[in-house]
Amino acid sequence: MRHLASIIVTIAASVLASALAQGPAPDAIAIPAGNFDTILVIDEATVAIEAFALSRTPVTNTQYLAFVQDQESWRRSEVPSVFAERGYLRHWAEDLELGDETAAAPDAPVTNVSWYAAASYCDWSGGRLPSEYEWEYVAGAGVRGDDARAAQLFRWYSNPTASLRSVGTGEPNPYGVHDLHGLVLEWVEDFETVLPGEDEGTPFGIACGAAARLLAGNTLSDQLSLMRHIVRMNFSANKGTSTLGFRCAWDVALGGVYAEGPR
Amino acid sequence: MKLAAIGAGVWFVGLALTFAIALALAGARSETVDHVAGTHDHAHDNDAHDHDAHDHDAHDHDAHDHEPLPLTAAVDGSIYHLDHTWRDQHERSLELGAFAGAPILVTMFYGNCQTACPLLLHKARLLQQELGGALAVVAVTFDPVSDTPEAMRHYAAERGFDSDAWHFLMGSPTSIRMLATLLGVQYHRRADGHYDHSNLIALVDADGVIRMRTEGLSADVAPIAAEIERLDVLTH
Repeated sequence: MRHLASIIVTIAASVLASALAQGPAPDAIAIPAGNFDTILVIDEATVAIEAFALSRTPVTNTQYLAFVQDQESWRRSEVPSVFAERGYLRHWAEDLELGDETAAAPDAPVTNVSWYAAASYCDWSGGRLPSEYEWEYVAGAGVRGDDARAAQLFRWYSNPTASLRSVGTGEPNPYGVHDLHGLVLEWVEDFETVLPGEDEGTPFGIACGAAARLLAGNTLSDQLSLMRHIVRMNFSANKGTSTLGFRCAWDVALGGVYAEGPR
Repeated sequence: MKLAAIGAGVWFVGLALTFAIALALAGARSETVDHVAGTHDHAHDNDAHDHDAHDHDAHDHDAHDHEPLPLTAAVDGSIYHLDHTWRDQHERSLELGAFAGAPILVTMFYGNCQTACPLLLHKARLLQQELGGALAVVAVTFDPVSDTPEAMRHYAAERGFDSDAWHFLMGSPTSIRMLATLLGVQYHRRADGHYDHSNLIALVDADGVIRMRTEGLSADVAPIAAEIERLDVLTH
């Protein structure tokens, strides 16, 4: 029954996205509403997450190729530097040709994409980038409170340069979402929310070293989340890296059809 | 067997619900476009009728060229590459490129903000007045749900931001976040519906390049005024 509800919402996400988007229907997983205990408290420790749908895997080179085929202004030779600096899609052979590099394999996650490019891809597909809270909410499933799993992820963080495999080939998390850990880092919609700020009057002025004081728990999985926040401080919205990809999210408002939590 | 029947029933209802919502949304989207076109004249009728003194303003609005800047004409670092569609307080659709050709001030705020935002907009107004009042100010809301064109018209009228030079823009959440990121504005929606946000005024030149940013309510805006004068803003 729970599985059926999940399928229904997944289809709903696809149909809704198709109705609203220019891009292809997404391969999305329904994520139920719930509460999330964030480790970096901006205004409250427990955050309510509304139901949404999330890409089952990171966006692949093939999927991104379809985007730039349709959207000329996002091709490598056309994109303005304000949206993507040199290095954008550098692992591809040409504007519309993936080429032979391992990282350019059709089913590998697309990397070397800026935040603007990622946000525009998701907009094109009728969705958006997931918020940081949404991403952490899903990524925490099966990790929080599991020190063995968290230790495994620390090992990945300490050696993230292994060649990129195809998306979706690892074990899914309890929601059925693949590759949240172990493949690439991922852009989130509000990645700049917690950054060193210049404005003395905002809550955003959290320097790198000071972020640890906001760490509510002291579990390995909380420290993993903290590391992600700190790493984000080094990112610029118009720069990508070879280990940074993204996935999309969609708003789905179907009430309590699937409010049963992860499988 | 009974379970299977229930399952099939739920499946059918779910599928029907899915398509109904999808169709409703698809319909709502096309309806919205028509509605905007339909209310455009209506809004101007109201303006003309209710505010006779603003007839001239309404005329100027209509005459104002809001054709988007062709992408090929925008310089590489221009924020006018952001080709998303916005709506202003007069229910017109426009792209940011419509402001190309003269420097503008851009700031971000939201209507229910009772503390920082009024000060921020006041600061933009002081700058504008110092420079003769013709400088366009583009104020983009963080809150497109509450800050409808009608709400923004009221907001502008109540606070005296109702000259032609003031443009209150609403966009999609993605558009708002992308513009904020271009400007360097950080914001975060709180559970109570209010927003934590940077208080920033950006000077954008005629090509759409950000020339200067001032952040913080206590920041000195004199450098922006000096830069605007250097760009010879009032000759446009």
